[in-house]
Amino acid sequence: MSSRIDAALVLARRALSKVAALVAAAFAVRVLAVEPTYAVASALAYLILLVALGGWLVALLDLIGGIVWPVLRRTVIAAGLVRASYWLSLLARASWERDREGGKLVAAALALLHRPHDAALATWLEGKIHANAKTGLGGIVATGLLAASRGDSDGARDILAGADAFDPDFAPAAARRAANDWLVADAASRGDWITVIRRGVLPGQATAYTRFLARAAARIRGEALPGEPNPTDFGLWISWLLAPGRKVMRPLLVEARAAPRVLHQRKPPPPQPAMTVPLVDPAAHADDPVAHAQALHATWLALRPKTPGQAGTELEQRLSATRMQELCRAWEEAWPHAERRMRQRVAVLTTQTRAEEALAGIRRAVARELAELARAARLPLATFEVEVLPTAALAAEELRAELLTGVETGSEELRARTAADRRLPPAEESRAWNQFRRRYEEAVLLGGMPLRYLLFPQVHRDVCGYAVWLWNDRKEYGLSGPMFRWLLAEAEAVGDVEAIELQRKNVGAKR
Amino acid sequence: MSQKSDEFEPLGDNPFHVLGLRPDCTRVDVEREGQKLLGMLGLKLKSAATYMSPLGPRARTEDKVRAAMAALRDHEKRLGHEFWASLPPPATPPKPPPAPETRGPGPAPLAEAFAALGWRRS
Amino acid sequence: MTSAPLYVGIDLGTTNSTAAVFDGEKVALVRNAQGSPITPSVVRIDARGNVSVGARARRFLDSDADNTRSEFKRLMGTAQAIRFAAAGVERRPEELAAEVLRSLRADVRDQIGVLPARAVISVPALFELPQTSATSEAARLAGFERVELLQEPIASALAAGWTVEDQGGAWLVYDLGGGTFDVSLLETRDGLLRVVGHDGDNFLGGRDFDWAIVDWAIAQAARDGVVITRADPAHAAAVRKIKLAAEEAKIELSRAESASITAPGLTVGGTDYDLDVTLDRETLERLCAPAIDRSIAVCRRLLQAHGVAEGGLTRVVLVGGPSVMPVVRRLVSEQLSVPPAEGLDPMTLVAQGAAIFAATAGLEARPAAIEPVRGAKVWLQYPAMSSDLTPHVVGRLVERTGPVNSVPTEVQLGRSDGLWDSPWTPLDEEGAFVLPVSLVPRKPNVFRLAGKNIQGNAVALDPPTLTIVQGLTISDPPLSRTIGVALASNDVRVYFERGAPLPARRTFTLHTVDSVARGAEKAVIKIPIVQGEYEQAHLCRLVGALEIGGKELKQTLASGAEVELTIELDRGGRMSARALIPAIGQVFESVAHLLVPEADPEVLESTVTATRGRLGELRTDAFRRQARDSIERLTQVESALDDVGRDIAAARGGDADAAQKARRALIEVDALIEGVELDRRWPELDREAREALIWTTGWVQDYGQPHEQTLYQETAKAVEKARQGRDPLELQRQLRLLRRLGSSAYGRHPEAWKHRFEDAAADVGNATDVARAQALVKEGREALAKGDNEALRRVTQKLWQLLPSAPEDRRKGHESGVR
Repeated sequence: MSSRIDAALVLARRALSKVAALVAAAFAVRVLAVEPTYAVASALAYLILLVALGGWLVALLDLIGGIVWPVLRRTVIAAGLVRASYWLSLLARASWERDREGGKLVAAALALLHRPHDAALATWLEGKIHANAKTGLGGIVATGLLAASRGDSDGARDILAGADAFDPDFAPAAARRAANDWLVADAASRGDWITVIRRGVLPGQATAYTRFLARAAARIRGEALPGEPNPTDFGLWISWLLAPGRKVMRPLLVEARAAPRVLHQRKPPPPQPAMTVPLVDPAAHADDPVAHAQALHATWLALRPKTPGQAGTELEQRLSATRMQELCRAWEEAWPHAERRMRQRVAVLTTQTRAEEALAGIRRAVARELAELARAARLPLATFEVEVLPTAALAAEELRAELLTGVETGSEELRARTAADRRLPPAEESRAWNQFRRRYEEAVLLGGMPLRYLLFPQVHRDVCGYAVWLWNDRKEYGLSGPMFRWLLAEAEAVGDVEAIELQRKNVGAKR
Repeated sequence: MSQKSDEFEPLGDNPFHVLGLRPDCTRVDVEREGQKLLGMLGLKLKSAATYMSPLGPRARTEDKVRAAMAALRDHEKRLGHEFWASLPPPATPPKPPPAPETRGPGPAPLAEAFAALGWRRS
Repeated sequence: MTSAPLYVGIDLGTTNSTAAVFDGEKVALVRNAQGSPITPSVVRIDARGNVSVGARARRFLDSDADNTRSEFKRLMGTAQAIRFAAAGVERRPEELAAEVLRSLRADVRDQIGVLPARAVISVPALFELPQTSATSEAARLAGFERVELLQEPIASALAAGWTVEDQGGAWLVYDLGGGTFDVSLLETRDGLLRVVGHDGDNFLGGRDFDWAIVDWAIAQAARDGVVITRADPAHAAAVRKIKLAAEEAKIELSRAESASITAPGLTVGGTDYDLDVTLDRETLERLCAPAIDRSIAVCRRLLQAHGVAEGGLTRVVLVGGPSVMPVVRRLVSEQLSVPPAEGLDPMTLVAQGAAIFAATAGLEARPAAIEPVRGAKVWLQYPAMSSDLTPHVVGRLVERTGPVNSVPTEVQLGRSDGLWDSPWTPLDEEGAFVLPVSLVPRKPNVFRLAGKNIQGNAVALDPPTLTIVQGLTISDPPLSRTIGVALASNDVRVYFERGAPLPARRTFTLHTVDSVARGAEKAVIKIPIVQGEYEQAHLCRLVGALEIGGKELKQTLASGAEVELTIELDRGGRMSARALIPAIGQVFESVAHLLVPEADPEVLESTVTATRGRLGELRTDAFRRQARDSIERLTQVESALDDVGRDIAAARGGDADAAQKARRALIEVDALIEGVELDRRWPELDREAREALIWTTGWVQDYGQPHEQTLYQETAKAVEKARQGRDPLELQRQLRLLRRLGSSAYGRHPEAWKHRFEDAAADVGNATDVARAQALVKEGREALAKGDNEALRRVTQKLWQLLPSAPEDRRKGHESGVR
């Protein structure tokens, strides 16, 4: 009830401001009338009247059909008029009803992407983002797009992916679509077609642009799209026709139509890129177990991704559990030889360190690198033959400790920040949470149920406290709502009765 | 504790590889070779700018050479590095990386993905 | 240009300073205007502002103490200003050190005829960054255009090694200075000197002997009924006079069997008193023994750390004024069972070594003269000093274009004695050559560089000659203390470990903890740089901080953003740092406050009180546990605290140096206590684990679901493993899971909520809102009476929310903004 009264009051206030504008216009006419440039003055006055009335008209149209935002995107925003986009987006009421300020920011950020980079405008927009105390998805998306505009693709990807985790009840569809558009374009430009297919047809976020890219990619790769069959020639053509940038996307259409249509969903054949030629051939060192193990080790180390956490690398495709075991076994065979050799050298160099100690250090270093390899190749801990191979056991121990420490540190940070009431800007808050969640999910993926059980008590305590703080003290409903849902899902997965009960209540809470 | 000791990446930055020596070299060899390489790097000679490791060619810097000399002077440290240098670095430079055709199924990366939306490429 | 090279080395000591020059073959000491090679490190500024240095100033140390200052080296790197009352001026310690350096520089000019522009200055091995950086600053103020700093023990070793023929094996340099004690373990092999390790005490020196004598003399005076208190500022003048007399007696006792300490006309408590007591050698040795024992303990610690057995040393080189004392030489030699190296002058050895090192570092002292180019210009790289008999000379033509006749295509090096020539060597495609040369041992070797053009005609090259001195050299100087970055977790990310060769540079990627908005004035990310061997940042000394402030940021910095922090140290251990933020492409370089923190006696006193409190608790606990090791360590802490107390008293009397000593000792005490606490925590944790195993087993067996029981068994195994491996982190982790499993099972017990409610109700006094908590307890009791389990659960959960959680951990890591 009260919200209706509020809305009425707001409307009344706006109507009053329009009346004031009309009065001002009339006043201007009078003042100017005494001047000789009567014609100019009256023209100006009529213009003001027209704009004022036009504003109402546009608002009316928008209320009926929500057409202002699409029109703005194709005109003012597409022309790269940052400030104009910012102010005119006020007219797009229907699209940004829940996040009026966010709409202005997203409009300006999009316009910024439509023009050559302008540091001054970027700084101006950044100021506007910071001045916006109220959080909404709009602010977050604008921050992400701004990062993209500044060339920080990694940062942009990180922030914009956070839009998925935002509560849809508090997220304007226009913001989610803008974020998704960028993420799909980014994935396509990197050749990450799996992401394009997954994101391209997401309900509530897909646009004509993302749909076309997803359908074309699905057709070429012979994959089914989530929730729809492999596209027909006609379907592809229609999608292309509706999408922007037809000219540059035409070759993709041609390539897609040339690909055979797969009617039944099937898994794509495992990708088989030609393997990078190893620098040292392990087979050439078959007579020396130590050099053989090192050569094998070097072969895999050379395939490590340049940036940690990179997906779909050659290492991930090639280093299977069997091959990891082969590597561990090679080391196992090398150790006795290494120890003999080490003893000889200890005697020659007259070192204080005993051969066993030196070798223990080397074994730890090997285990650390094996753990790093396993992590980069996403090999679950369960695939390590810990019972048979001590080297594998040591590597598994390293990996486990690394995963646990990573999540525990992150969790502790959230807790410390909650306790100290240390607030981050909304985009940062969203990013920090998503980073933590990804770390947890990686630990669960590689560590399986045992690690999940082990981590959940602490993570539940810290994340729950963090989410409650976001909800109660900071009114960040869009961020904390999904956290409660996530906690509930995790609690159910580990069967924590008390946590399930608590999170059910939290999920059901209303602001 | 996040203390990481001042260690080399065992295979890639092995001091023996950095100095272009084998594990049976003497202390004098280490000093002589190190001093020569430092001189060559000081004059920016191309012939000293890289070294071969089992993980491929790597950049040789004055810092790396100095650190390698210090590591091999210390017998305790040398012991470990000798172990890792059991594998000799490849004599020939690596073959050129595989041609870009070796990608998985699916379209090639779409460079114009941003342009289609009228956006700048980030 | 004169053909003989000139290298200058300076020993800038606490009490005395010395300069020496080296010409590639011989080392000579530089004499001052008074004809002595030793210049006291004393500076006087009179009422007219005239500055005098050395022996002339030292004469006034007694009579005009307010305008004559000594021992300022100990304050290097602090913000402590030193006041000269008559002139009404204040000087920083490095400004006074600069006066001494300026005076030594002038002495070199008077003796050699060259005002040196480059030199090597020695610093104590355990000097930290602020102190080394202050020393460099002093050299700059004194007019040197370039200096390198060398650690004193290395300088002594180099000088000793240069003079002594037989050089094999491990040996020790025992350097007891006026105020610092350093000991280094060295090893010589194949003409190369290597520092195996060093240790020391920044606050142990000849001055401790002096104070021991002063205390003894004061005790003698007390027999006459005259009470002199060192901590009393009113007695400061008298104490100073006694100290001077004590120093003189100490020196005299190096030769004589007894000496008198005479200080006439002391004003104590308004009356005059003439001190005249006789000190014999036996008493002196008794007084000095504790300090010497302390130094020997440090030596043993060093030998043990490097696995050198008793008697495994070939010799010990004694350096520094106080080591002239026969008692020092005797005790060190006897207790470490090693003969002292003979024929070396302990007072000037450091300066000699510094001069030799200047040759190794290629620091020619003569100012670079602009000379006309006399042929094709060649860049050369070669060791100015080499232990290797066949080092390499690398060269490269600066210009490879020009008339064909003037461009060389082949080069040759020939030794000036005409006994060795290299083959003619063609220049490679970069215009470069690499040639091994042959050296005559222990001499400066001059080589001439000759070139031939494509037609085979001679081409003049510039420079036409180069000199390489053959002899003992030192490998790159090692870093004295570990340097790293304090992280927000109070851990240290180590950049350079102690002993890392200098110069050195390393980069690590760190991550910001918070975000910083562009333009936000107060928001700053601090990257503290610390020095020390401890694993926890708060125990290490903060030596600098790099700050990334919102005001300078071009863009807002996200939390978790990468910061590529590079720390660079030059050969003298001077540090620079650089932070690159790749996301915004901005670089930050200014390192803030490289100062030793001030040590305020009041603050120190309160720290001591707090530490004593902690000590008491720990001791009670250790006795209860019968932990002998802990008790022993706590006794050590207690005696250290007593020393600190004495130093604080001296600091109150105006001795700023004592305050620094106390501050440093407190950090070490903190580390000792930390170790004891760690030991204490383990049994507690272990006990908790055992208890948790007992109470949870029953509940999980009776009320646990099958999957919980399986998991429980695995967890119990893991708990046992962590207990055996004494891994506190893992044990805590497994304990959490164990408790959760137990508590889940327990939750199915019909009376569970009753017990939980009672537990919470018992803690109600600690609630954040006691009134509301009491109301809830009342409500809970009603529910209990009615047997309404559901209502009881609701009440208990609400009650839990009112009970306090564990307090936030102190942020100890120097408020670091990175992880």
